[in-house]
Amino acid sequence: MDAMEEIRQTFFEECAEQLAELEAGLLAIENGEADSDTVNAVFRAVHSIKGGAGAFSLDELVAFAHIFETTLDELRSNRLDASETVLKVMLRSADALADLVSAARDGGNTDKEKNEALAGELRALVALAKGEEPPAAGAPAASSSSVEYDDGMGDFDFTPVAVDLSELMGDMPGNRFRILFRPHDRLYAKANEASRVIRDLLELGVGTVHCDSSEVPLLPHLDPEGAYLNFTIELETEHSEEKIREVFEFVEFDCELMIEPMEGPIVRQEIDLEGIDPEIAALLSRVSGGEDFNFGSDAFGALEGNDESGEAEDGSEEPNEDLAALLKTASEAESVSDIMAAVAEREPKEEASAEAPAPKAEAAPDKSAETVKAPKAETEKASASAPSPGQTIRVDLERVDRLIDLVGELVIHQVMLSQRAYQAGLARASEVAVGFDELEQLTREIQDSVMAIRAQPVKSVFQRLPRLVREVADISGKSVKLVTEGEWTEVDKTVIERLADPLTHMIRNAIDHGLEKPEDRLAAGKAEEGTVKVAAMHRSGRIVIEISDDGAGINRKKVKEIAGNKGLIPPDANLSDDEIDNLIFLPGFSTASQISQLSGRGVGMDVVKRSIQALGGRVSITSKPGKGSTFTMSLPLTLAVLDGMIVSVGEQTVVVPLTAIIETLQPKKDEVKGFGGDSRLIQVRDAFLPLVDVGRELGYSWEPASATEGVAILVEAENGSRSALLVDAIQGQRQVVIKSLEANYGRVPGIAAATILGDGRVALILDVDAVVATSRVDQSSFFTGMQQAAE
Amino acid sequence: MSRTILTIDDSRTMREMLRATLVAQGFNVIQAEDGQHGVEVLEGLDQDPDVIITDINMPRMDGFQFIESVRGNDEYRAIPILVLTTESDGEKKQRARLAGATGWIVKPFDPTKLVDAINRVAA
Amino acid sequence: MSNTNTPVAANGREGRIDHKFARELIAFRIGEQEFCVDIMSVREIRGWTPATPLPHAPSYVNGVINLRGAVLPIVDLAARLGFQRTDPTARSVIIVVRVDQQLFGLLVDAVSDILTVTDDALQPTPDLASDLAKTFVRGVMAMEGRMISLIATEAVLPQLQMAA
Repeated sequence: MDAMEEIRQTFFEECAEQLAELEAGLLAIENGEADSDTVNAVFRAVHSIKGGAGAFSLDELVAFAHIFETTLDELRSNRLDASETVLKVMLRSADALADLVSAARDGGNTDKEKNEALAGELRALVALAKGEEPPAAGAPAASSSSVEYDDGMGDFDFTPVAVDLSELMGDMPGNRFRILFRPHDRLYAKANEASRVIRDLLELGVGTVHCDSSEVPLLPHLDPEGAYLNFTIELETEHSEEKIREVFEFVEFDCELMIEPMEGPIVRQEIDLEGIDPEIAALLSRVSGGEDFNFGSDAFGALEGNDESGEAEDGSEEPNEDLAALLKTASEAESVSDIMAAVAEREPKEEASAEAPAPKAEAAPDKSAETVKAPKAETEKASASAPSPGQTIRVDLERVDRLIDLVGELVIHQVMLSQRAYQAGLARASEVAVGFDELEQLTREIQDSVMAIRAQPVKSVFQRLPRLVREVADISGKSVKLVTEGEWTEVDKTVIERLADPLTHMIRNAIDHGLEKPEDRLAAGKAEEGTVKVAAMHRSGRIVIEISDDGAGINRKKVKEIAGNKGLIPPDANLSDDEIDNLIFLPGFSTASQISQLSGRGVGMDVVKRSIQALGGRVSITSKPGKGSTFTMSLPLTLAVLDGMIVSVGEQTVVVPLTAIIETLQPKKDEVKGFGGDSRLIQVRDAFLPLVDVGRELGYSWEPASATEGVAILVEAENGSRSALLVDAIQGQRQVVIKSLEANYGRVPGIAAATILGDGRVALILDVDAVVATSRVDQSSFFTGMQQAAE
Repeated sequence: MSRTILTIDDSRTMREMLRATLVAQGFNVIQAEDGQHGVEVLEGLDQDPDVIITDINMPRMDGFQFIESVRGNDEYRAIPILVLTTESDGEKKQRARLAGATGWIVKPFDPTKLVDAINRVAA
Repeated sequence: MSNTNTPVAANGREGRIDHKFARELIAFRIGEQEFCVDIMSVREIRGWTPATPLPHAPSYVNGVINLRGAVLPIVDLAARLGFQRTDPTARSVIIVVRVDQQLFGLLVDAVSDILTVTDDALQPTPDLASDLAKTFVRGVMAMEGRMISLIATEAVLPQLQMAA
């Protein structure tokens, strides 16, 4: 039972892969990028799903997969053109198939009517391909409970014998049949054995075998591949003729077969031994007795030349030495295993190594360490081409996670150990210290390598998007083309898993709110079909995902009006375009005057933003009126480790993620200005930036820290706005292991996560954006709405 | 000594299914993921499997090609090969037969029939 | 909720064995008062280590400590029950308890006893107790003239927004 459940799980895992392949393939065909391999792969995907589904008696799924597969087969054999219409039906069928799989897995229901209609469309395509009249609209659907679909060639089927004839016809212990069986040589060429067939036959009852060897030529003329023996079997059995035919199932086309009922008693006949090696004849006689059949069967194989020695295929005049030797061996052998051993001995097999080359570790995701003054790194475009598959192994994810946890602990302990050693007076230049350094280096490398195991291309998330886009386009009545880029960009599995939700919402938003209706697009002189582009890339040690549309862009006037009406901003607020655009992330903001079916079902952009922030990510928007909008979401490459700057705030130690930091400054007295209340600004070159007192923001101190005695860390928020964080001192930089606060506690405003430092104590990792945003609330009256957001 | 079956199927589900069924019946099971892999596995074995069970529709090398390749090799031509066909597709069976298949099993298979088919072709 | 989290309470109903179902409790002191928690929910008991304070946390949350690689929140049980905040010393004790999948530590003055009691020893919390106490105390019991209150561990942690 357990094993079945496991296989069932495997099946659904595999279904997910097949469905992804199916969709990707269909899209490639649609884009004209497909070759015959693609079409085959698409066909195979549906075929495999059907096969597995059959094993689990998922009849509805099997029925739909079957008609889908049949249609794909027409496509594969070029009887059906891959027209746009055809592909639309196929893509919708792929969606329906996915729904059926989900329903089968989770026990839910699917829209039977819709599936039936779709199956009807598929059948019509098949009919079209076959040049038939499409079935009438009301044509009965293929029975959903039947797994087999007779195409008129089902005469070779295993026919389930549901009715036992002997039962119907009363007690008949003695049905008697005469069976004439003349194997053709091709029967042996397929590794079938006349002897095995006869053995199976004799298991059905009692009988005699008469072997006619009159056609066996003399050795010089004997074709080792030839078949010369004819058999007549007289069988007394309680089984029906049908049962007897079943025995011949595999060979019926490779032999002459005649089965006739017999009257009268069976006359035991001796095997006609004329003209055949007496030793072989002896073997055959055992066959006829139905005893020790294994012995006989292999002797048959040897005699008929269906063995490893078939060198002389041309039936040459020369006696076949191999065969002669073998026959000799056979005659001397005590048992068949001796014969086989003799055969094996003569043809020693080369020993081949079954060992696979060691799997290659994938390259670690780009995790370039940044220096404090790092210039903003240029976009590193992820390679667009798929990495070559190489050797892979499947590993239970739990094992990898466990390994990552352990390595995390190892890193912490290694740091703790060296710190203790230095505290105890270890000299920095000592050999032990050098050893510590090397150990540290190694630990980091192990950590990177282990993390790389869990790195995955974002493809697994991207491949769900086409369907999403189709569905949203469908509901919203828009025509949308999806373009994806950088799907092989790798990121840790922890991030992948949590990428899908925000991405889904943003794409929904881009289609629903971003793109115009087709008629409006045409009126604006744009292509009727809108484009949504989703691109992934590595940038500055993070993964950046851009979702852009070529729609109308943000209607700033309207956004500002709504925000004003809802009291999110003061009516007379003077906002930059950028600030207006980002108003859509405020809680309680929704641009749609009426909540649309799509966006309304989901969540506001504020929730999207919060869920991204919870991952240590950021999201921002840029927009050009009439040209479209781009959402930029950036996330850490992993939720397991982070490069941070360790700083002191009051008595506490806090980690500031390095990715947010531009530079650090020593504030001078005349650079810091009061700005109403407790707020302060700091002059950095020719700009005035808010100075955020981290100690006060976190509630670690009540008194404003002295700016000139501390250090200002210049940070950039995701929306590009800059601020300076005031802390007491900088302790250093370090990669830290990210520990969840949420597992045992919950979310803490202004804090992204926690880590454990070398002294064994917990330090908090600052959520820079959140801290800056809250401080802005404190300091100005701009975003009154944000205050509610923070609480 | 228990008999060894080489199963070739690109579907993990089918491979696992076959393995579970066959192991429960006391067979040794060796797996390959497609025809090409099947040939490689076969070549790497010290001892020939007693029976090969292969799927038809597979990437790289399909079941027909696999059978032809096995039958074309003197070393392996005597190994009984059963093909798995999802449907009761006569055309596929006919092709498999022409390629040199010894017999076939219709998917979804029931364990008894599977074992019957193996016993029918195995020595 | 509480029944599923405390197997003892659930099992207590199956009195198939001759003697009444006995449960083990860990008793501890806060100031002059004695409390206890079900031993089934206790993972370990450890000495005090300084906690890292959490911003915007309720006053009864001391902060978080490192428990073998996990981040463990510490609740000052005295403050949670409405008494004066504990000023932790080296002798203070953290009782690590588990509720569902969550682990957290209770800061108490000292562990005093391990008690084995039967279910009927537990009496309902007296009416005169404050609402606050009622929230966190599942019941009281009398032991050799002492009154010991059973803490409802699942009510102790603040209800925060969990993973988004």
